[in-house]
Amino acid sequence: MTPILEFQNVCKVFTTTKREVRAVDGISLTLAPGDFVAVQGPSGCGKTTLLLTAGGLLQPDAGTVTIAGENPYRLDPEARAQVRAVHIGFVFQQFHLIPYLNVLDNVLAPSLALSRPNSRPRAAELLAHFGMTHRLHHVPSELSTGERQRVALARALLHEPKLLLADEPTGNLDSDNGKIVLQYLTEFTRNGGAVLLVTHDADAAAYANRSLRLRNGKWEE
Amino acid sequence: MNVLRLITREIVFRKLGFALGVLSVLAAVGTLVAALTVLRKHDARTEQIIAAKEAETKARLAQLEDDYRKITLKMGFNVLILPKAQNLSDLYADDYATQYMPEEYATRLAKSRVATINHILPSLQQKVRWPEYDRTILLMGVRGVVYLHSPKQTPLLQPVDPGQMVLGAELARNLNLKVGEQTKFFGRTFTVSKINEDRGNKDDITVWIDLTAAQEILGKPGQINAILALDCTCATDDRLAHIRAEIGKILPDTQIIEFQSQALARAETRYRAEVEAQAALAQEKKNRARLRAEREAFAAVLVPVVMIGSAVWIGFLALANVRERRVEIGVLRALGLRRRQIFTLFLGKAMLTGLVGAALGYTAGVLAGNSWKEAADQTPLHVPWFDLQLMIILLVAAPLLAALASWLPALLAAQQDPADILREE
Repeated sequence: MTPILEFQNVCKVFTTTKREVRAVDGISLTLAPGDFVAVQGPSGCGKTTLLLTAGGLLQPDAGTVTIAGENPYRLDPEARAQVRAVHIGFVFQQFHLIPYLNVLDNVLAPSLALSRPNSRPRAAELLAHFGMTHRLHHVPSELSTGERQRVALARALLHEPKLLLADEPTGNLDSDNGKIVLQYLTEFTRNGGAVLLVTHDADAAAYANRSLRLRNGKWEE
Repeated sequence: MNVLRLITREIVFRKLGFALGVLSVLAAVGTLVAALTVLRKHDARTEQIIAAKEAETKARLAQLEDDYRKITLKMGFNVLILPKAQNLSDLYADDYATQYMPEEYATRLAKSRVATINHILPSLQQKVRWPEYDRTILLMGVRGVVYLHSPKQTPLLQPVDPGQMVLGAELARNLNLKVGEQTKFFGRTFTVSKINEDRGNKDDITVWIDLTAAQEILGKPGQINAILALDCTCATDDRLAHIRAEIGKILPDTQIIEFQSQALARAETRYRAEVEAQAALAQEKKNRARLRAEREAFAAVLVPVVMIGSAVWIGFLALANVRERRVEIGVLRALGLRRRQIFTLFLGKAMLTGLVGAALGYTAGVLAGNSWKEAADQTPLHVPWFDLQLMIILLVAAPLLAALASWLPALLAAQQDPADILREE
């Protein structure tokens, strides 16, 4: 089975005026369909760098990253954006919904990248699945945090990506809403998708079928 | 979902920023349109003023003509008394009468003390060859004015004394004769007593001598061929008929024509009035043109200054908008939007700002231009509201200029690194 995401000896180094920080240091990782991998570690250990590199947003200094069989960093930025649009869904701790768009339009936002004309029924279906039908025309400021994260999740799933990259998706949620989100992520993997969850929450990591710890940019034994 | 919806939703969400941008375009377009409206209004006002002045001049000339006609009813005018047999066609062709009448007619007329005539001037005229110079001239023998009513009246023409001659300017110049010089004329010696100034007519080649000498030279003793009655007065409208009737009773075998009197004076007056009116009109046009040039120069400075200010302001607002939407840019890029879509997002907003600003600015400019008055007491003058060509130009140019002003901020937005943004968040 072709892995959805593959890291081979990936390194990412940030150089400041004072020192060199190896945020990701020789990491290898493979996510196949159905995988739910949680990456845990303290703040500044390189979790977010790992996630952004996996999302085709941050070019590694060494090693190779493959998404659905293709190395996005060998493509020009526009083609790389296309890879993101087709294969990857992002879920953030801060939700990052667009404040001036209503719920439906927020979920439809990724359709701008793929120019798919008929995304509306899919968006409505997803929102119904997440119990947000009654909130279609509300803007994010009118939603609870749990509702916002469900909208963000619906947005990430609009184009039926193969890979979900979730950065502390439950960090701003109460435990009930956190559970709901994690259950949706689990459901996604059951349907053949792969999830890379970055968290420092052990309870959230418990939903994953594989849990890894990152320290100073390396896997902790 | 499309980019336009994203732009419009963002505009509705951040109304203040959009309103400030629109206000800026409105100011630039409004200033331009107001300046153009004022200049158009100036041109329309100029046309109005010139038309009014022309009409006024015309009316004044007509009034002058009428006034002059009424005034000259009571003023003297001139008539020429000719032998009845004189063919007027010959008179006009030759410039002198070819038929003769007794000199005694002048005396008879004087003695009759006819009420409508103040002065009479008998003369004998004939075109002759001046034998000593072999030159064709017009000889005019004059006796001087016969005073009808009082010998104290000022003579209208000075009589030429016997042995003297008065020369026309052209003749004197050609023959090189000066005042005081003696010359031979038909074997007789005459002293040049006067040389008339150039008159631009037959007088310039005329020799005036005493009537008796002229009669002797021409072999027409006691004969004259014209009596000029000067400074005639008559209170009735048809003065000529009145004078003809009066003189006809005294000199039945004569005919009377009006001679270079008030018709000429009236024409001269009208001509001068016209010249003055034209000069006043030209001055007015010059003043208006100068005023227009001043306004044009002012607009030529003001409009670019406001436009540059507006462009800088729009650029500044776009930059602020990019900074404000940094996270949104990062998220949209993470969702797969391409750089040029982000660029379009910001440029599209700028163009929409330009479009709305241009439409409002056009309206505001026409309103401002139309409400502007050259003077407080002026009657309102409105230029047409709808100028399709200008409107199209502005509705195209303003969005393009706004896009140009936002170009760098939009480029900056498109080049934001989403990874940097998301890491910082």
